[in-house]
Amino acid sequence: MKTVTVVAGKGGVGKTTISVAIARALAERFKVGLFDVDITGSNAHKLVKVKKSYDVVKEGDDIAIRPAVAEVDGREIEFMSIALVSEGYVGWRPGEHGEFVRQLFERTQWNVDYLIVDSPPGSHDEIIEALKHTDVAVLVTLPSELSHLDARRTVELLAAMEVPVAGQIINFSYAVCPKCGARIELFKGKKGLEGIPVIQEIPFMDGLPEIDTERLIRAIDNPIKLKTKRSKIKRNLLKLFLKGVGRFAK
Amino acid sequence: MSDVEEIIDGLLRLQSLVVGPKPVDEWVLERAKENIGNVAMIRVYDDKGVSEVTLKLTEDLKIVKTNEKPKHVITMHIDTFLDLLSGDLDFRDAYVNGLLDFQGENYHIHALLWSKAFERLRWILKKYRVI
Repeated sequence: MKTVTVVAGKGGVGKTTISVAIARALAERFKVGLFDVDITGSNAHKLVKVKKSYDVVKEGDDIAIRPAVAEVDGREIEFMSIALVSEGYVGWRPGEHGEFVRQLFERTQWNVDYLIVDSPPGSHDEIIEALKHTDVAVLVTLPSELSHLDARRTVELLAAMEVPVAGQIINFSYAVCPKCGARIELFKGKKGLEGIPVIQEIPFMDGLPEIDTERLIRAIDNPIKLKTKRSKIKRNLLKLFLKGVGRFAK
Repeated sequence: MSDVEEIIDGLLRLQSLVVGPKPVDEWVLERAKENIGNVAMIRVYDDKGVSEVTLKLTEDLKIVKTNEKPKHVITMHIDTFLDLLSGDLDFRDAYVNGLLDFQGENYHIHALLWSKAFERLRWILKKYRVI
């Protein structure tokens, strides 16, 4: 199973819609699961049709969760979300969010090829926990400076946690003509999006209205590794130097 | 003696070479004066286990090793420790991303002091062109 987590940093950029679109695209050829880990703002369940609820089963002395079964555009997927337990507000202390996600990652018996994780905005404990279980991330942004600012923070987090990235989807950056189907770039400039900062080191991916399954699989199978400032060589040289000075002090 | 103890010995040795009448940072000097006698433990772990070194700030503003009971404990991985020293990792980023653990009274406030202490250590390493 390959786990693909959709991240953004900023809220309201379309992470959930993109997550469902990715699940839908992959479900054309593969067994797919969708896991909504946005504890306080879960709404993926509104974009899929839940056909069968989750189940909690006893396995020896332990318990396991069988995910719910949902449908998106006639394609069946496995699905899990706290909204299946309660659609009301969640009043837990923040540390509990990560713990809930951790337990669900460990206990849910996904029987899928790809697990798509819809994450909350920010860098709270539930997203940190989700990223620990992630193979590849997909970054979603808006053509706006504020979205870019939060996306940059998320890129730093992905680099720190050594999570490779399949690509970035700049949502609402183009429209598709309803008559001829042509793609109309809304902010096209000579160097990408005119007047709008973009994350340069991550390749662009196609977003809505429909994600091409083949291109998506290629991007997921060939993610880029983000560079971190942290250098093992520098670290080892410093260690050797300080140990040497320490011995010299004797 | 563990790697960590040797590294801290190295830092203490460098400290004794550069502590002089002119402080690097007035803020650090003021906070140091307020914290004379403070005892804190650095716990650094790696694949082999945990190394603990307890340090004390003396009246002449030098940091020395001690066997006294620490008021505060800071815990981190050896890679985090070295990345903080080299400047590859910002203390604030390590702090908010859970790479550091603090125990003791008012530990968030003491984390701010540790942040300044690492700034000072980096200054020392830069002065000797180690980083």
